[in-house]
Amino acid sequence: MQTTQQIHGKASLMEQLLFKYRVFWMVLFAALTAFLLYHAAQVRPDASFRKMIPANHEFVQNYFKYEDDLAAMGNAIRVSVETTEGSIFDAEYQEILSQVTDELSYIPGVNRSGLRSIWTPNVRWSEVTEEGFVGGPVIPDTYDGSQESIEQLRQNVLRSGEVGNLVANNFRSALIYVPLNEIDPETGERLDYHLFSQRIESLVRDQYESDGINIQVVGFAKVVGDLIDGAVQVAGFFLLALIITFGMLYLYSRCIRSSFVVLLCSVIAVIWQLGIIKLIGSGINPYSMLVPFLVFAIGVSHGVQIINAVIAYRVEGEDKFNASRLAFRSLYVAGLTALASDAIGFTTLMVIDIEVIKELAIAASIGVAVIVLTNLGLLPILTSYIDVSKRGVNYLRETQKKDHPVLTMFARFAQPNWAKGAIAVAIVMAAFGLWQGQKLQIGDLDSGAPELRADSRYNLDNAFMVANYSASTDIFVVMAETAPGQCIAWENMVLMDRFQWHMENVPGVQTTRSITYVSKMGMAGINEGNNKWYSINRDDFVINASISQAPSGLMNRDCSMAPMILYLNDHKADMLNRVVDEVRAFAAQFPTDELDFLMAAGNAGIEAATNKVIEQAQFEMLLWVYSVVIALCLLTFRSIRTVLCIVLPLMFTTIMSQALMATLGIGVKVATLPVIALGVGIGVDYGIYIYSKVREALKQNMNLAESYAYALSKTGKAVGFTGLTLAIGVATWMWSPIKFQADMGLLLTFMFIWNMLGALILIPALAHVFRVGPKPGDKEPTM
Amino acid sequence: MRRIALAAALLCAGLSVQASDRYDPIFTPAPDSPRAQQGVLIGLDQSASLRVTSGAFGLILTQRGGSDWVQAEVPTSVLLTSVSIVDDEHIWVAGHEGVLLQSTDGGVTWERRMDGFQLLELEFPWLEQRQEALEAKLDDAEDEFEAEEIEIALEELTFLTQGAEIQFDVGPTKPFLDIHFVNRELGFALAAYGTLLRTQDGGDSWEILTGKLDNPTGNHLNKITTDSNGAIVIVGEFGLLARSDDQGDSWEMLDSPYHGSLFGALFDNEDRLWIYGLRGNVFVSDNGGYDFAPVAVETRYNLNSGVVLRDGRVALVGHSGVIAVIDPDTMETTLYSHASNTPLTGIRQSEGNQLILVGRAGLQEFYIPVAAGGTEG
Repeated sequence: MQTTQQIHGKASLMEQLLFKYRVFWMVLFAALTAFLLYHAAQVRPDASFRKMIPANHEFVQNYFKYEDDLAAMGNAIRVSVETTEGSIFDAEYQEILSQVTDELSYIPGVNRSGLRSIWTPNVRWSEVTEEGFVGGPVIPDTYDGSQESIEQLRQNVLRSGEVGNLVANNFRSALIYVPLNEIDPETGERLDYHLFSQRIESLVRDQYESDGINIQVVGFAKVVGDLIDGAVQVAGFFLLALIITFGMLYLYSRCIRSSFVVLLCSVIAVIWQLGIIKLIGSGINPYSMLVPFLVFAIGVSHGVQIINAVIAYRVEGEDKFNASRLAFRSLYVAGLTALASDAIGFTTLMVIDIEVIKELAIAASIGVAVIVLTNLGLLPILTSYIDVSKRGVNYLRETQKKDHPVLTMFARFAQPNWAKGAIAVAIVMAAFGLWQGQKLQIGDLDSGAPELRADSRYNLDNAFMVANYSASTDIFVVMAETAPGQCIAWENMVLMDRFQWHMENVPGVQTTRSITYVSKMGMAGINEGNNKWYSINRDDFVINASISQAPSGLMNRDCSMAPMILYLNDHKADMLNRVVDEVRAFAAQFPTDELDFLMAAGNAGIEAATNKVIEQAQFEMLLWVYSVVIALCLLTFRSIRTVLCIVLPLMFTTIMSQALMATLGIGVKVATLPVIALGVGIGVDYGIYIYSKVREALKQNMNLAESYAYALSKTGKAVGFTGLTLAIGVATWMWSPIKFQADMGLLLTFMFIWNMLGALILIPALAHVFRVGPKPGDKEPTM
Repeated sequence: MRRIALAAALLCAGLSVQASDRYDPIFTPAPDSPRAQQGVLIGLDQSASLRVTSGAFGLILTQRGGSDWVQAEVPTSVLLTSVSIVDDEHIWVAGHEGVLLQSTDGGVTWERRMDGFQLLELEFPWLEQRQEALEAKLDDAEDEFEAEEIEIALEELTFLTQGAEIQFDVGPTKPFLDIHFVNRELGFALAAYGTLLRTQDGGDSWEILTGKLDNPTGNHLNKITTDSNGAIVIVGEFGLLARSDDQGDSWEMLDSPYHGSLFGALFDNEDRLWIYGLRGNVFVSDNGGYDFAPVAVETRYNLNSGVVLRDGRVALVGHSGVIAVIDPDTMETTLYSHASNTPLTGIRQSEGNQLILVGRAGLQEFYIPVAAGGTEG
């Protein structure tokens, strides 16, 4: 094989190093890829609760402080066994319920002593008689499945106070409350949620569900299990994105060889990114799973430019080595700049103090850095060996001769009337977008587990629980913090009691529970059930007596904290803001040194903290990402008017995507906030590509319309192709079983396409309006 | 003895507690509560034009004619257990921690006429006097038998004194359990541990009648009621049953048909006395409480409160939403269950067959089903 070593022009040091030692680089790349593939293969999706919440927010800090004390009431799943015919007072049904209870108690991770169902001995009925309290286990000691013992069971259930709690209000299902040990007390191992969730499916659901029996499971552990299951499915979408992208590459280049090389380098970038993440001890979570898709798409879009250039130089008659080398030379600065802007865009995500987002930012930055090596470095080396196909070269030669109809259409937007029209339409749309965007809400807007789709099995089960049992699944816990031993002192209890009534009067708060409720119930109980005694007694000894039957978890061991549980209608931002405001208002109304009302635990409490962080970060992040983009553009083009031409279309996209979110009922949340930064960071690339070509043309004293036509002919196709590849890479996510991934996919797709159109239409239009380019009668371009 | 005097002297110091910033439900106005109707409501009374209910956190709701319920402004936040409507203007409400409230404008505004600290102030001198009187009596005792009786009485007094002293330490704990005004001047307030108060001047001054009931163990007094001739009956803990025919000056302890707690008592249109309480126990007396016959009500739930319906039947409510309607002529009992399934503590008849109920889950309604072909009063 013969190669020409001398090519015209000056080669940079980087270019010389790269092309002089091609074999060395190839071997190094291959070795590194093998090494990182080994590590990448060990990456497992994890969904750590701690990482998904803003760990430094005051609420979360308070929660962490009492995490262990709250565990007793926190981490549990609830398994409901429903009969589709008749009622639960049926021997066959009770047999199944008893079996399911037993089955659950043997699943590793279950806190057996805390397990509660009408079949466990810790569930009792009690009654006041002339002689005092009498009671016993709800399941009669003599239970034998006979009609009499079923009748006895029915009576025990009715006087146990468990209707609405362990037994559904309609008596067609019964619950098993299954508390979990986060750390196995015997082995010291952390609970594997995925494995636990799978065991619940195989040992309980698959085994006992039948025509007459339905089983519903809810609880954090199940959500996490389902999340990881969903995440594994999403990995399959990668293959889909790969196939579609290959098809598009082929349509674009008509060259199987170069299409394959681009895919290969992009996949290598993904392998490297995953391998490095594993090596630095970071993980992949359901949010950062987006990153491989993005890395792949960004890799392809840059790879396409290289291939495009290689083929173009081949058309000009260079050989495969020189064509590759020239392609590298002409693109590495632009590529580095674009990738640098992407990376900086991603790092602005670090202002959001939530671990999963930081992991996403780190993963994405690593990914982009890796693309520099694989798609700017390795790719031209590979093409210098394997060349591009003749067919590809011929195809480009053909297409270069004729104007592309779509590009011709876009070129019109540099002309006065089209420009004004486009701007006018954009202003109207932006106004509408701003108006619609006002309805944009912070946080999750759907009921149940917002991570999963509304029609997912989990959320159907959750809806079943909400419909058939009394307690809501949206829980906001306020912690009453006192000096040790003082949590049940009268002056604290009486304030907690009033606090709860205050909160029960807040719209959307269904009810509240705490040790004060138990004490008041106990007071009535001590006084033979007489409700005239339903009050907190001033005498601490009496209070002590009143809570002797209190279930665990309503105060901590040294009695310095008592959780007050608020059951909410939903966990929408309005609701949570109202709760937080009212808690603060109450604390301000009754200031005391003895008692602090600490927020917050429970899913809704944590969500309130997340919302606060998101709300604040939303503007901070936009400020940062736009500052960075503006600074980069100013640095590159040194013209405020130019910066406006590039940034205004991006802002337009931001406004429109917020309007889209508001319209579709997608809130600003952990999943969607990064999307805006990603959209802006990647979106600015188009502007940079187009404008650099426009400037090139303006320098050659073309007028604006000519310059824009020139820019389009050089990069128009690439910009269009990049927009589409990026969009397709993430569009597959719309089919994710995980709701927030689908939201991310939808929004990113929208932003990538909208940014592309904005760049192609609005940049020339704005350039016209801002009078960028030569003034009439003046041939000097003003830039 | 000395301890009482000491405690009484220190009481003034104790009273200063109310002036501190610390939250004290006695002196803190009731919160404005949009969900007052879903709150814990215990007391309920009505007159021809007015209906009043009271409950937790100082809740008082009034309803005039057919209009909506309105939450009144109330100067306390304790649990209010009982309502007594005297006439269209005058209403009394009793509550925990020794709180008595009065309205003289038909329930719009309320004044605190007594609190637990004042009740203690009333009780300490009474305990002191009583002890002095008993000790003097002991000195003058004519025989051993009388002396022994007085010593027992002194011992019983120690029990009450100790209770008062605890309250001196921790604040007033004694709840009023019932209030009943016969007219604007004459009224009775019943409290825990056998405490009985009477006013004969419309609440300007109160006297302690506790010692006039033979209630040595200080059983709670749960309910007071009067017949058409002015006879007064009190029921309470452990089957306590007392009657007065002289407006409370003297009390006779009646033989109780039941040793469990009695939560309520009422005279029907024929002046038959109905008493009811723990575990669905109901008894009726034709002679004002001297002889009783059991009434078979097939429920094991406590019966807390009752009313005479316009057709003469007696309706009782209790735990788990149980409503028992008894025909006094046939003794036929019909049981209903209110859908709320929660403890009911008050009942009054509204229009037609509609019942207004209160309880732990707040205000409720219930329509007594009209029997097919039957007539409804």
